[in-house]
Amino acid sequence: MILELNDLCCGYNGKAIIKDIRVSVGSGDVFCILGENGVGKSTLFKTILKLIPPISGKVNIDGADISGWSAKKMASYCAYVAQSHTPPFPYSVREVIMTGRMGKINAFGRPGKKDEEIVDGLIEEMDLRDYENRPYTELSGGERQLVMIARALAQEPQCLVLDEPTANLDYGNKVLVLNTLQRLANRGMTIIFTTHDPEQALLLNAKTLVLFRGRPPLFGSANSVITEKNLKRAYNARIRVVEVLDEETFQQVRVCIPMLGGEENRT
Amino acid sequence: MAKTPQTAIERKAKDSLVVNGSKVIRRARPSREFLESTKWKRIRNMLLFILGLELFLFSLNFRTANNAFAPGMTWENLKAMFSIPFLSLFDSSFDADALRESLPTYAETVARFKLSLISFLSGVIICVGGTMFQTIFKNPIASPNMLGVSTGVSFGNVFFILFFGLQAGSHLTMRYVFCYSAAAVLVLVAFLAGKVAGKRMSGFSVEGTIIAGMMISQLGGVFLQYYQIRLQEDETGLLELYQMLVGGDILYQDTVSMIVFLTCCTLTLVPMILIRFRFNAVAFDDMEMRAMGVNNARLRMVGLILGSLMATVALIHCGDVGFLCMVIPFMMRERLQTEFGEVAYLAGMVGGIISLAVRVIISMINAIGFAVPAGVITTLVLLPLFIITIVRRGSVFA
Repeated sequence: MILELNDLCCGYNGKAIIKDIRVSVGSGDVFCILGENGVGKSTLFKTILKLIPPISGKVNIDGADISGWSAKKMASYCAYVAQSHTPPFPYSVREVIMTGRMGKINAFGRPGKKDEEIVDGLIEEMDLRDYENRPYTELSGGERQLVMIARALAQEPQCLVLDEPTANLDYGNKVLVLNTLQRLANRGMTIIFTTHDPEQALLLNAKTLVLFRGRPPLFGSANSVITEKNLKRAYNARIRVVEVLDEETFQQVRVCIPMLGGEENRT
Repeated sequence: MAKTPQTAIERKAKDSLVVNGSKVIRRARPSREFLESTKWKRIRNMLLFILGLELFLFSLNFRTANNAFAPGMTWENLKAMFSIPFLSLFDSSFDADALRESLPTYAETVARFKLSLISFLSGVIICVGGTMFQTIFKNPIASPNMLGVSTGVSFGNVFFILFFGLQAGSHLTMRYVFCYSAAAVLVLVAFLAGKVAGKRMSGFSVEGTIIAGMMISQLGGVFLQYYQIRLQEDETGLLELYQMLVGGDILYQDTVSMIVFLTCCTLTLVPMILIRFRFNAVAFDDMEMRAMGVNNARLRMVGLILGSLMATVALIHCGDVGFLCMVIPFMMRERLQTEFGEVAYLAGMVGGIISLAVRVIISMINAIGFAVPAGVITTLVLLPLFIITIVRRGSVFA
């Protein structure tokens, strides 16, 4: 699958929030969107998912303009994982994952054998067997996020769109979710996600789009785009980008460290 | 605070104890795995069905304490009741009247069957309607009455009495026209208000609909109180007629009433059964569901229409049954199940059983010379259960 954003301008009621987005990502790519709060990351997400129409420009999937696509067709290509999820009722993990099959099942239908098998497979893959009948509301943040990813995968999409998948998670759960995303990308799935941790883009070697307030966006590999200068522009804060050696893999890993104090941070 | 056991092994270890080197079971209770298993759910659903059937048969034999029938006699009557239409259709020489006359309790059994059916199905549909509303409004204590259905039905009865006066008793068919129309108008007003409020939020406003429904109910309640005060001055018996119609003291079992009732039950229950899996979507976020190719706005509208119609049918044909539609779905979801289809089945069956049991109790109380409205008995039965559920939960909301 190839997703292209051609001169995309997004916003609401004709008022542009972000413009001049030119991006192309393919199967197995990880695409990370960075930017400060309110810069338009969610608006871009909604436009990619065809939940709001673009003001100008086009979103193409495999060369076809998605503007004429039905929600069902769109769902067969892209699945969405929301930032935080709290269902009002304590659905079991299995039931939550099964809702991912809704787009594939007739409005009057019930999950069939194939649907059960797909859900079973995802429960195994995400290592959720011990929790499958437990209320989703009783799980930890990381486990919940895995359930949400499993639900999105139940749609059998080619692209996974995640809104801050590691927000509010501790380090262990962050690593759990990032490893899962890496595994899915290695399997050929396109991963699109937003984050406030630039090093996640570096860890996943993602194609990165940095959105700035009042400046044109930057798109490129994580290593080329995530620089101290660009982070300063994006977040209006002094952030050091340093290299450390991973003593297990003997690879250099770039990490971002926000710096306190200093003249720049008082702007 | 002790950590909740996560795995099956941990839970098993928690339920067992080692004494003098040998393991003994600490608690003889079903494991959580068993209670969450599909096998147990099937057993539970089957037991509930058997309980409902038992109560239904009981109500046919012992509807009133002073007029109990032997089960064999009831069985003969039921056989005749179901076979007469077929035999009359296919055998021109068949004498249905002779068969009926040969069964001395036939008419009573038929009447009891219809009454039990109305009571049971009313309980079923009002609780299924409650389940739908709780799912739509993502609120475990929502009820179909929130949109002014009960006020609408009361208005229908008022207009019906105003229109026909003391002749109302002989125009009962028209009562359905008045009640269904009035309920539809009030619910429509609430929907439109929700739609207008939602325009500002680019969609349908659940809060706007609820507020409009509550305002309509309040305003309607004031008018209905005023009307009842005016009727107290009337000495022709209109107040008694109004209270009888609203309170559901009499379950009408004439052919028209039965056709209207069964048709409305079918029109609401069949679509609900068909969309029961898809309906889970409305409990989740609209944007998430749209990204899955599911249109929540359309589903919600279908649910609101079906749920309102369910509540209207139950209120018109069985009268006010207290807060059955709120408490039973809440308790079923809280204690047993979350998936919509399962909750709807459980709430429907339990609601039907309680509604039928209440009617049996009322008929027994009536037999000893007292008259008690169905809503009073229902509330007395449900209130302690509701309080226990809330206390065990800690709060009404999640």
